[in-house]
Amino acid sequence: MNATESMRRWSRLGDDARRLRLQTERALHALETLRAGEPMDAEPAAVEARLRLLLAGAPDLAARPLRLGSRPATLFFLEEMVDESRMERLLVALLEQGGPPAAAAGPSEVRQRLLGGSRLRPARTYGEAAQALADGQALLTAAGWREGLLLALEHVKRRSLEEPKAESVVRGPREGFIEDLETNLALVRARLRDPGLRVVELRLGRRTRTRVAVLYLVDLASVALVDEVLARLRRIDLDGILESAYIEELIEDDPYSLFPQMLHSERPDVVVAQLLEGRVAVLTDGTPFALMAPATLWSLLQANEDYYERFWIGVAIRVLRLVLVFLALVLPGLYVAVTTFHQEMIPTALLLRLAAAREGVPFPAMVEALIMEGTFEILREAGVRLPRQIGQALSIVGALVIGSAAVQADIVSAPMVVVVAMTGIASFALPHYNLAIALRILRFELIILGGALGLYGLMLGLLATLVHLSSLRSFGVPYLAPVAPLSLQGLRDALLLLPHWAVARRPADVEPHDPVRSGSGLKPRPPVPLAVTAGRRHEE
Amino acid sequence: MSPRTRGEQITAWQLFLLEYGLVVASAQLYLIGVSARAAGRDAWLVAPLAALAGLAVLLLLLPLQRRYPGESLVAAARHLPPVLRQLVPLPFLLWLTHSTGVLTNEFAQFIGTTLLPLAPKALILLPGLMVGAYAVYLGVETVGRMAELLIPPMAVISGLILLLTLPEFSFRNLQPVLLDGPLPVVRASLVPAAWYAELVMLGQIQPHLAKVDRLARVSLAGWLAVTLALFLMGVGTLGVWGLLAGRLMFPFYSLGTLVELGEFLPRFDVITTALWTGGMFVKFMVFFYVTVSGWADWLGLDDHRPLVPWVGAASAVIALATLRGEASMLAYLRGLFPPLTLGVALGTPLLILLLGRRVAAARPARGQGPAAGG
Repeated sequence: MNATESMRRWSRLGDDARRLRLQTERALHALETLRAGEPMDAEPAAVEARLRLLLAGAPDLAARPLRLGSRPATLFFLEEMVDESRMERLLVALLEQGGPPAAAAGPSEVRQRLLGGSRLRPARTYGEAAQALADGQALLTAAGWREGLLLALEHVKRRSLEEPKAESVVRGPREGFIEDLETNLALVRARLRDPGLRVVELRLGRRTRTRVAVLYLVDLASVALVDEVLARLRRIDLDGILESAYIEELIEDDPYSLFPQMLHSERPDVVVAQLLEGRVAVLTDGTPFALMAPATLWSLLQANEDYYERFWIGVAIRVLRLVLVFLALVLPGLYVAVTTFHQEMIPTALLLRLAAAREGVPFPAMVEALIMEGTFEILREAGVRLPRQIGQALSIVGALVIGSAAVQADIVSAPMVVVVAMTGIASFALPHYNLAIALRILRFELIILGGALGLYGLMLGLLATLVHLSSLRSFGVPYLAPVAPLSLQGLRDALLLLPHWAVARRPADVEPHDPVRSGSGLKPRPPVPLAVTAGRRHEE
Repeated sequence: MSPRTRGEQITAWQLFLLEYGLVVASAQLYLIGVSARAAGRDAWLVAPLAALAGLAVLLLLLPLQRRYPGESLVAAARHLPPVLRQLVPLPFLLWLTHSTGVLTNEFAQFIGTTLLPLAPKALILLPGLMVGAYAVYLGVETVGRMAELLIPPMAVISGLILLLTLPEFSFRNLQPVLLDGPLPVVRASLVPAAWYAELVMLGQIQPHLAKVDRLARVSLAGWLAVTLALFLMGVGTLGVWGLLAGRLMFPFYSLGTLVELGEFLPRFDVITTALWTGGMFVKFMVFFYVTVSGWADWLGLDDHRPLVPWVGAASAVIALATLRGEASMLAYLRGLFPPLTLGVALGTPLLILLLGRRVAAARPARGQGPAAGG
């Protein structure tokens, strides 16, 4: 575009628009020089002009003039991003220095003298300076300095610790992660006071520059796993990371799979438990959800509370969950297949009931199932985002109108409503929502296959799902381990849940360096009766 | 090691289960009926006799694997002189392709008989083929893991059938032993021997075994397990049905229909059908995979996946077009199948072994080559 042409186009715009346009073009130009690594000016006024240009005239950019001894200096910061009280203290400290020796001081001397100087970094280019300001740091420049000094004063308002709403427990710690990475790291460290806990920090997102921390126990997690996680994270080149789900999507093994290949949790105790098994955790700034890898199907069927209750209930619940998976996945398809193709398989008494209930229904079982499952999904989806007050109205409409009225009008049969309700409850009872989503989608396929090819169709659908699950890996670990490939030792924790004294080793599928988790002979025993010890003492 | 076989590995337990599923999955359906038709109440002796063919095949595969470690049966043929290296495995490959088609047919027939009597065969066969193709496309690791998931339940339910029909069992149905002399038994064992000989397919899978030193132990343990299972099934079935076994299409499966577990579960056989379908599916995946990988090795491809649709299409055509109905199927099983299968299964590894040894002897200068292990 040549100059006259652009002038002609500009003349058509109003004054305001023209100003905005000019500003944007200047800022774009400034950003280009920023990327080129332009060094800082030595004059605070020039620095200010440059920064205002770079930050596109940000109204919250404060420039506070000071004197360092005889030198004029300026402190830049974004107003709402810094901690006021720390800033006060810093200013006092700076002014106290204002004697003759400081007058000649360069940035490094100031840095050494200031309390907390270790948190100060020099900024040599405008690029570094602008990034730091955007992070919420303050920039100190003085006349004659060829570089600025960055002061870590960032302060972002955060909510306080709460119990995670999606992962509440009857027994167990009630703290959950929040949106602040530092706090979350502290929550993990407070539970895992091991110097072997490694935290690797990365910045992801070209524009959001989101801080991401990779956590693992250095003497426990397999080197190959850690390398793989880090390599996949470093490959990410996206403009924004707003939730850990972005990361999950970019680093999982099979991007097309319906099944989640990483665990996620809002609970620090869950993260620590997984770290102790040799897994790697990824914490993301700005979200309370931590990611953990590798995940297996069985780990997605576990809840942290299984380990906090008596182990018998844990065993029973694991078995129950397998039943739930079966129900959530297969039940409607099985009902359709059996009532459409294999009526002879139903016990006679039940068959008569079913036939009576289905007598007036105008649809084939498959259509009926699809309608009801579809309705259920609509109700559920509507309920998720509504405020609680309206949600009640919704559940009344759902239960009364669609449930009982549809049955009374003979549009759907009552057994179908029972089947759909059981399926829904079963999928809600699974501990990990993302696994339930996968099952929900597969359920529709199984209904169609069951309606088209009966039990054979259902079996083919299940076989195809199994084939997929057998081929799936999460960071190199087979998704169905330890069942396929079989590991007898791993089975003890994956399917059954034995008490801590009985499981002395870590699950082998994660391939931890140090397989032994606890000392031997931990099984509690009743004390030797007092009378016996007394007698023994007597003999001695 | 051919480049394609390098990455994927299966465990000893998986190989054991694949071997078990390869023979038992279909033998538990057909073996007793077929042998009872020929050998009457002595049919339970057929399995141990036929097992010798399986043993022979396994004993041929072992030295081959020692001589060309990490190479599949077809890949090992590449050590032969130019024309022979293509010619020797060719009958094996054609037989494999045909067998996959036959098995597809058997699979569809089993489903048609037990679950979908009214459905056209193509409707049963094509979706099944597609799921099988998906598994084969994903490779031998997936097939091995599927065996781990599907074979144990199948074995357990077969054991349950035997246990739960014990009250109906009577030794009188097995007596007198060898009333017509041993000849009918020998004759009857021909078809089962061919089924056993299908173990030659393991030649394409064995190189994937992660711990090679376990190969001999695993394959012989698998053979023993197969024989024991078929022997027990034979005794159990004949002990209940007696001479009737020869008139039933799937005598052992029919044994399952006798089982009743209380009033609430009147159809125990549904569970049997479901779990056996799983087992049949494993066998089908093995056939499919071995055929695909065999052709890939023969063509010198690094990747077996491009061949999956072709082999799948060939199986569909063979199953639908060449084997029309029960009669032609049975005619094939009784006629061409035993000599063809036994010939190919025993001949191919034997030829590769013998010719390979001659080639190595003719070129002693290369010394350290493949002959070192043999």
